[in-house]
Amino acid sequence: MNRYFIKIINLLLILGAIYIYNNTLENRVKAEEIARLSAELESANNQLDEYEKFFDVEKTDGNIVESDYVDGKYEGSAKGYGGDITVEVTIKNGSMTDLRIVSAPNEDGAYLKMASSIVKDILKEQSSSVDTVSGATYSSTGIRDATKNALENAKKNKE
Amino acid sequence: MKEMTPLKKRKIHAGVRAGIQLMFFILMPSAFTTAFAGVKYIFVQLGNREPIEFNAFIKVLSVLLVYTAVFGRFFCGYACAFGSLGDAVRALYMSICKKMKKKPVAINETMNKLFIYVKYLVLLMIVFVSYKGMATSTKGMSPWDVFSMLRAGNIEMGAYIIGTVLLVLILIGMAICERFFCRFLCPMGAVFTLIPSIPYLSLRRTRTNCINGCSACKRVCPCNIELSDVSSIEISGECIQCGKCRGICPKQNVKRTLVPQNFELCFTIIRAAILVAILIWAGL
Repeated sequence: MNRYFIKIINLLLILGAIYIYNNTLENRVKAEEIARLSAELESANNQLDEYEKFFDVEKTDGNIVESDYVDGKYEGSAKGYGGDITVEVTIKNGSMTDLRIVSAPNEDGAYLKMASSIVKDILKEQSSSVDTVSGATYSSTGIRDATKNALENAKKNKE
Repeated sequence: MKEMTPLKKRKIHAGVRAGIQLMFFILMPSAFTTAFAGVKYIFVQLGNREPIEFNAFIKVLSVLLVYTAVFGRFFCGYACAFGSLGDAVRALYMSICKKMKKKPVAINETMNKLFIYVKYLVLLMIVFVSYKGMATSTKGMSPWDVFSMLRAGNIEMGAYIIGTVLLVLILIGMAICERFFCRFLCPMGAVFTLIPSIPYLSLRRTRTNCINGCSACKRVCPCNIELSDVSSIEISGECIQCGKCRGICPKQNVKRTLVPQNFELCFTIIRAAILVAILIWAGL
């Protein structure tokens, strides 16, 4: 058979395989998410019942954790792939509420876009010790280190 | 308009090509690594049993693959920064040979038939490393990383000894054999080779018109390709669309079925413009 058609068939097979793979995973992730959420809900309900029974606590608005950081906006920078990356961290009520990339003049578009997914990890973990983005290691390391740098500036007891 | 000599035409084409290459080198030097990052990303996700999302890497990769399916490997011949770097090194080497009145080193072309498969091995190795999640332990080994960092002006050579040595070896190879890396080693080239491209927009020849024993097209070809006949819809995946065969043919026998002969220069510029447009659209 002609090689042109063989290539077309191969390509279609690969695309089909990726599609099936993604679909299977999506279904699995959904099922897991549902199971996890319902388990969480149940345990949370149980816990709430217990607390109310034993301690009869009043509800606070949650800011009981003592934070190391002073509220405000802080900039920090670190070396990325092609030069310095500068980020701005916003600390509100002692926790990181926003992380913005202020400037990254020498990073490549697609890489920076990929690396930016580290921002939500950092905000979720409330820490700069998160894994870098594979494939965009240099740029994401830059964002991470710049955040670390900014958090240093935000510390209460600076030495 | 006055009819130009074939030599003049060839020179104009070579100039236009060099100009386009320079433009891409300045504007989009990271296109090739971004596309390949897409390939690696697919296997990293497969290894982690995670879904393959349509992210920035995959977008650039898909755009380039679709483009290649239509126009062939124009990207390789005109837009890839690494290929252009190789061409520059090659041009430098040739001019030094000329000045010193030395014959350039010639590579035995009979071995090519085997060597062109090495790039699939390179691809398999990288894909395997990505799949196994060992990418971080191979940091500093990629000659592309070293090239990209040098280009970006971020020089910390200490950590990239293996990559630097490989880059130097590759550049020496590129100098003594045109498109050495692209033909034999490039993992992205291996992917492109597997893409079916529309034969009617690529160069083929009317074999019955050929002068007996003439193999000018094959000899001038940087990839040493035996051009397909117009009766065949199978064109070589190795072709990087440089168009040298078209210029050299003494009988103007190398043509694109869907593009008129005197429209070639326009076609080149149109292809370059489309490539710029879709790469910008893809977020480069």
